[in-house]
Amino acid sequence: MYPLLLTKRNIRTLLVLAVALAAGFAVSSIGFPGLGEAGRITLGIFTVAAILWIVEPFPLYVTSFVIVILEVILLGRPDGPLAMDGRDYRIFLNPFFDSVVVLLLGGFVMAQAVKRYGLDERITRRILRRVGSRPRILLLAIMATSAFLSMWISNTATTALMIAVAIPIIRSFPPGEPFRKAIILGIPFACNIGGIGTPIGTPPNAIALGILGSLGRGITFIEWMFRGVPVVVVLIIACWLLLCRLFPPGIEKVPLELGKETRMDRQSKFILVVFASVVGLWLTSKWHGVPSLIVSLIPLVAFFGLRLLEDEDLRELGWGILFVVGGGMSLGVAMRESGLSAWIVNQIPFTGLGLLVILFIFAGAAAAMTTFISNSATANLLIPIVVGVSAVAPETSAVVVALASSSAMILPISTPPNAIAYGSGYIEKKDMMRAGTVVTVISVVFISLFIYLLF
Amino acid sequence: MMNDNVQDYESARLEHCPKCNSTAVRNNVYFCKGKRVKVYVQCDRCGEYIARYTLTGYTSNEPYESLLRKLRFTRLTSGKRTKRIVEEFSEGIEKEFRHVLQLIRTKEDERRMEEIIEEDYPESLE
Repeated sequence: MYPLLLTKRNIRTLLVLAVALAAGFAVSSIGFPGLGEAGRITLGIFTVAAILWIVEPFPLYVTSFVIVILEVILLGRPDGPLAMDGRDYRIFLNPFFDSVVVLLLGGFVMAQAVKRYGLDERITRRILRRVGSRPRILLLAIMATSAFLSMWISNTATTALMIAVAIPIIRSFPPGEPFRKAIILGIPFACNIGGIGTPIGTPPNAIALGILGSLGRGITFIEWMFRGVPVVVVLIIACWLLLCRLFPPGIEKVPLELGKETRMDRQSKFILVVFASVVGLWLTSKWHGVPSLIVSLIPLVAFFGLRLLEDEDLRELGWGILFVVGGGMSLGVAMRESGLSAWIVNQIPFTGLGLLVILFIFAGAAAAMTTFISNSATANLLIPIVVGVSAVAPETSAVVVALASSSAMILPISTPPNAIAYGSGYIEKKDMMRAGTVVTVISVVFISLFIYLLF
Repeated sequence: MMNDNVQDYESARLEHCPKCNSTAVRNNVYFCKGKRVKVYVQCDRCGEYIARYTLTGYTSNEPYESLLRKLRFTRLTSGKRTKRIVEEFSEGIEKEFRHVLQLIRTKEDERRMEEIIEEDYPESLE
């Protein structure tokens, strides 16, 4: 027997869904000049998606499936506005197994193996053992480790690990020591920033890559890192300086109890070798010619084939995120095919604005949205629109929005790492808002400038 | 619904030894790297094997720390949802623990443990 269906929460869910569908229907009924039937229907679907991703009556991936259902029924039918034959509707389903989704899947499998065998914790403790006991240096080491790990492992998982490691350290601080706030804030901020570094670091990166790929403007793993890693390095240093200034340490030494280092077993060594090989192949795909998609399948075969991971691990892989990415890309396909992207772009008065100003607007809009809603939802809603702006190369606009989608960290609800750190009870909302606002502004300005000047 | 607090889709049962019917049990926890943690339940009175549980989650008496461990194997995209999970976690455990004790006291499921699992939760069988 299972819990009752008509709980208060489910009734609210159904109400929000009904309101979203009604709003979508109302919007699609408005005769906007210059927008055809397919565009109007897609605008309605976009409205439904926006409401559901903002209000979150159910998990974000459910919205992805609502989008696909609406796309296939309203746009994909043979007598529909896109005049598709019986099979063309698959263009809305294909994004769910796009090469970027498989790339993420490979990254998720490697991250699962690293976590299952405790390699993330081993790396963290090994680094912290070597940094000494000066508080400022310790904070930098914690933030750099968090950023590095979250390039490869989920930001949520890295935050959870690093806070678990940090709690015994900050418990040893005298009561009222302000530096504990610097450590607890530094971890989620570094994890948010670190995700920027690689295509698999956070879903907005994959969404940007996927949409660029569908336009025939794909960028490689290493090309992404050329854009992302310098941003990570600069923002981590800026964030560290800020936290040291806002919450200066009142102690001179931090007593570190990190336990003894144990020998690594064979399985762990094998996982590290596979990890390094896959990353190496991703970075050099331009030269050896094996697509990243195929490289991504290697950890699946190696770890599940040799039973280093089990069926339970397969279930824990974060399928929901893959569906969120697929849903966003599917919405992007509908917006492009229906002409909605081009129409929206024409309605925005970009004429006469310089490239840098446009990039600031994109980055600012992404940061403002993602302060209140998920960064994946922000990327899903914004990237299909900005890639249509003719004044900016799609590679530039998509990357700026993706990077800025990870850079808003003002509120506890802005990102999962923020929410986890806030739940520790060591910081107040005003601490997060004060530091987070400055980091967000620095991020938006730096990301826009960096991409404008170098790409 | 059974009454104000007990829903008709839930029940609770104390673990009993199949041999001597004692409810005093010992949890022998088995750790093997890369595998799920397993708990072998043994009768504290006669030493008989009672059951094996495979762990998919563990929460200690320090719920936030347990949640951090759990989140290491979770991928979340929504800050709102994460905040709700963190807030509900600690409060939820204490509340559910009291609720289970009350269920055992007032409406303990009469069926044997394996019957409950086979009939209502067959997906949990190994």
